[in-house]
Amino acid sequence: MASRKKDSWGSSLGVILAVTGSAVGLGNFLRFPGLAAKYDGAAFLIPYFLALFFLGLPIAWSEWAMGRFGGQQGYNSCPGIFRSIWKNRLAPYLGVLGLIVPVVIYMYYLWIESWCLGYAWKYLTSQMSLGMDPATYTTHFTSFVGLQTDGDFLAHGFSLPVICLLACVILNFFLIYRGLSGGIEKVCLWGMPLLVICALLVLVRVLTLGTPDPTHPERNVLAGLAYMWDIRGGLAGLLHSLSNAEMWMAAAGQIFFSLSVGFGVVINYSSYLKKRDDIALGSTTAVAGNEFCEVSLGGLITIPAAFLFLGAAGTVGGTFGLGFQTLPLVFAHMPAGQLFGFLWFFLLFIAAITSSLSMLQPAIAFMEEGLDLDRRGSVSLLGFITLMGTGIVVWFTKDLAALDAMDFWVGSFCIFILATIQTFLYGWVLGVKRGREELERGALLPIPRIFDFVIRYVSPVYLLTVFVIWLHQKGAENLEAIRTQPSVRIALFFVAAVFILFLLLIARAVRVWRIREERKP
Amino acid sequence: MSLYGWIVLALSVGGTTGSLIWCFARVIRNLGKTDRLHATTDLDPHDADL
Repeated sequence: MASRKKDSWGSSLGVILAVTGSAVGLGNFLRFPGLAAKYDGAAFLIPYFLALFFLGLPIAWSEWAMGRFGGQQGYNSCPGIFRSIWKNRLAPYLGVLGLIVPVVIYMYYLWIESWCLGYAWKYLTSQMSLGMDPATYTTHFTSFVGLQTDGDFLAHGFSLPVICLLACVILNFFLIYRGLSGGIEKVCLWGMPLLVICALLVLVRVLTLGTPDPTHPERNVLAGLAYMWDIRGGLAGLLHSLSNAEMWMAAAGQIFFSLSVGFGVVINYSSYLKKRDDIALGSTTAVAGNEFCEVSLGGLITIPAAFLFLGAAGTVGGTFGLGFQTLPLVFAHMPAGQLFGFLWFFLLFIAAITSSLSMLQPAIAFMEEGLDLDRRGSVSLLGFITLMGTGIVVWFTKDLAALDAMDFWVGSFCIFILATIQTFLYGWVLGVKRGREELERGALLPIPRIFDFVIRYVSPVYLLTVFVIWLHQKGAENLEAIRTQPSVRIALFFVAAVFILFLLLIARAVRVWRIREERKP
Repeated sequence: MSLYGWIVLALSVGGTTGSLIWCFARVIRNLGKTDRLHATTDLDPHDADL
């Protein structure tokens, strides 16, 4: 289809690490342990692993298969891939979600990435010795992010947080400009092993702390591990925990968001694979890599470390509270805490940048193949759009209103919709028979037969059930935020404008694709 | 930590770590190989990508 030189991966290991890098983020090291601690430790893992096998893994396999299928028809973007699977005029327009989701998430994720870089820099330069008062760390975070008033983040000129944000903007666009194999793949080939090494060093430190405070003998490594992994209250406690519907929701949501399924990235990445490249083993390895980082590293580090120094009270506080307020306090108590604080925030930065890079590629692929822009043109246009969005996020910082609104409506709501569409396309339009042929071509791993039934019936029902209950739980308060907070309305107005812009660009791309098809002999 | 806790920890951490190692070993073993296992539709003589 395209006359342009086609982008491609350098090696199968590169694409696996790139997909793993896209999936591994702050959620693996902060959100998962926080949820496990909140929902009675071991009890949480039962719905978590069930969601992995019936939701996460099947959708991941189907995304890889659809991506490579679309890639063979000459498409790398979601609108093009959907159009190649479903010969319906509506199909490419449904693919708008595969562009809007990663682009909008990038707008606020970039800012969070810059916090990790800023904290890592502060640890490296010994600026994080803030004492033992928990309130100091809360004040520090509030001031770093500018939580108190809108515009506070930018009010201090070229302060460290602003410099870190600019550094992340430049770094992301420099790397994405270098292309798939020269930018994203190289970063992930080096970054992912480095991330694991940093995490293993911090893990060894945490597991060898013994009983750090003799005045609190109950706060020891074993008790910390027990708080994360033990079955609280025996069998009766386990059954009681399992009757909590909210926990099942949280576990499914965690798997879903952690694996980055329904994100528009995996389908784009796999479209660059060759016809006979393996996707069965590659997708399974990427899922295994994500689970290793989440369960084995995140699960062994975060909560045990917080428990060791702060007790059970230190294990709560949400993703940002745990990551940017509690853990810095933990590092203040820890021997060689400055070094391990640096390693920790540096690994979070690597996890964040390998994710943020992946968020730009789907839209760039679309602009290249649909609008005939070259790399420079598409990166410039996307840079302009995303900078405007990030500008809105970092201006409306009070209580992170703009960030939360974008995260809910795009980073959660739209992801559910996109995953449902993808499951429908794979199970019912492409069909499980053709889908299996795609999965098995070049496969280095057999995909169980039951997958066909699961992806056609179980995953959609599971997904829609989780979606409806989740929307019922969270929808009202987020609608209320739109009604009451002008900053939320402005942020969502901008998202709607980008949404319409992409729809118009897709309409143009469809015309271009039609003309090309008509000219074909 | 109770025995159940150790079992949960060993199964979860061992399972995820083991599956990652197993998968990576297969990936590395097959790096650069052109022959594929488990393929059912590999018999297209006109395929230009071979």
